[in-house]
Amino acid sequence: MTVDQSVPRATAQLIVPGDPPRPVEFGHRVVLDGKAVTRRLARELPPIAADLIEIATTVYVADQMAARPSRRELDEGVSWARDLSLEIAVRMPDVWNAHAAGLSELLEWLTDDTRGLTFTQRMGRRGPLDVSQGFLFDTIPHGAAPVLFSGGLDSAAGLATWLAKTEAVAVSVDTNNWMQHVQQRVLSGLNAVSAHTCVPLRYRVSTHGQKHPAESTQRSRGLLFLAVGIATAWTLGHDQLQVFENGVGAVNLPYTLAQFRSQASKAMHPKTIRMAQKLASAISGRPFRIDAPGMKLTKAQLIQMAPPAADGALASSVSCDTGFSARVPRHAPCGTCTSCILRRQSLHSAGKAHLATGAGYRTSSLEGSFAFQTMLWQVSRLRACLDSEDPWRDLVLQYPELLDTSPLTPTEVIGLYRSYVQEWDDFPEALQIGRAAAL
Amino acid sequence: MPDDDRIPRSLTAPWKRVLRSLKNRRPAQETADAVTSALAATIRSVRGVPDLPGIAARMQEAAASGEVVQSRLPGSGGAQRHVPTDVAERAAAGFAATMRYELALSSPPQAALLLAKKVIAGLAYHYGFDRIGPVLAAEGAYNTRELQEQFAEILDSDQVSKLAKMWLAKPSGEGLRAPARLQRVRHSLEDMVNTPIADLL
Repeated sequence: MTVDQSVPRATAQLIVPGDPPRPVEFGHRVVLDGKAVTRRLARELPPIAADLIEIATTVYVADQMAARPSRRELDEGVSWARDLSLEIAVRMPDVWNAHAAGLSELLEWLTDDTRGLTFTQRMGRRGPLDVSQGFLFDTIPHGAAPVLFSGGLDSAAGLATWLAKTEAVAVSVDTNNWMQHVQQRVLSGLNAVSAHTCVPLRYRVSTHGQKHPAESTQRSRGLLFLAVGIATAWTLGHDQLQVFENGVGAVNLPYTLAQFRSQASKAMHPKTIRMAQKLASAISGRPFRIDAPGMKLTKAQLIQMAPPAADGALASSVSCDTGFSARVPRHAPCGTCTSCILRRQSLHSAGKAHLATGAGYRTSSLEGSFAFQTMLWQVSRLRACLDSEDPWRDLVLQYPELLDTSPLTPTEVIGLYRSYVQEWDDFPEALQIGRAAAL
Repeated sequence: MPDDDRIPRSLTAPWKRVLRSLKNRRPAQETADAVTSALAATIRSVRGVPDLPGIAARMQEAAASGEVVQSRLPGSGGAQRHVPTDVAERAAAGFAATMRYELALSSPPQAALLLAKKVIAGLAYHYGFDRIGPVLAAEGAYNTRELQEQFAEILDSDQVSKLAKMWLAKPSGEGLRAPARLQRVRHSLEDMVNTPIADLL
């Protein structure tokens, strides 16, 4: 990789073939704020942990700076993958250069992009996660387990179930005040009704001067979430992280076969978790485990496990693809994106449809909804596979990505999708859309 | 988690013709012909899958090795940049994982044809059917199952099978055209009466 020496050595440089290198600077393009975490922990993040979060943030920002191929190119057979190279200044370049291939591989899986990563020594500058203040004492309950918390329905339901048994430290990232507010609202709701408490540890990542970023897909966001979880776990002295995501959502099979790879996002896919676990273990030199206890459950089943007392907190979570956007008037969820529909379907199947009634969807009718039809399209296809003589064979021939779902066994995968398909049986009727028209 | 999933729905001109044919409930044969033409045009414009025979060979090797297969076979680097190659790699991985016995009994040309047919179906769904189907279902013109069955029927047709064979002869797709349908020649009654039986045998 050639680096233009005339560009000031910023935090990082993004290089896209055919374009001049562009700087990615903390404090300029991106703000990463971990003060809320370091204050609460009363300690600095270890250098390797701070590096991990800063690298993931840099990748997340750079991800939005280069456009994916145009529609015309896609029609000619080109995929949406990009070639991106990043040179990032870190505290421990030797460690990161030794693991650059593993990190690139994980990013390629999450984003489809080829990513050349080079790490250099950070010279004479403090990073956004370096703290100059003194500390008093930490307020983290001893032994509280780090859990990743997004403010979505799965993480709220999983955390509610977890807090019935033991304490937790909820690690989250927010990108705007509304997202922060939602996360705080859900956590307060859970703390008010749970047997055990949850301490929030919140990072802020926001971008400047990118009102209309060159690329909006943000597939590297999955790395950012996992990175803050892993890095915070390391800081707490844990080698384990909990993530709460249902199996159908985590595997996220394409709704239609028109989708290419990560167009169906893979942030919490079993393979993502496997790769992140392997990478974290290799970097730290100690085995690191990411537990995903909801992986064998549908979203409805995950919700059903949560104590009824947590219903209010669950209702205040947000699932919508645009629900955290600061630009949506009154922040109302759209009601018609696949995330909103899945939320509505799962609440209905879990017998908690009443939790969706106060959601204030911008559009509640699914008549004529393309997204809804793509979900029915997938359900119909899954049903045909599951009804065949050899469901596993037919599922794999239809969705070869199921070969990547280890540690789930074929029997577990079949069971998961049987439950999911069954849950859809009466959902169209619940929306007053005739089954004949729907299926 | 489904999070800002992107679901392509734009259609190229040949697939728009298929959509119109279905919307207007044209005869099944006419729709099937439109699909075969759209497939040939798609394969040409995406430049086929030049390494299709190589992928078929690796599929047989992977099946014979008995090793655990993931959704892409080893050596599938090119799939990341080129959608049709990705469709082929995924199809090959699916076969290698689930049809080891059948692939062991197949000759390389048979295995290549099996894969070519599956890739043609994959391209039909990627560039056409799975963009058209939900639109038609959303408009209430068809129900989902009816459409999926109709699409499967079209892909099982002789025309598509012939297209797969023609494509396999030139995997880059250059110059590929939909196979000509055999036209029924109408003979007059007089011709038929006067034709010696021996000429018909």
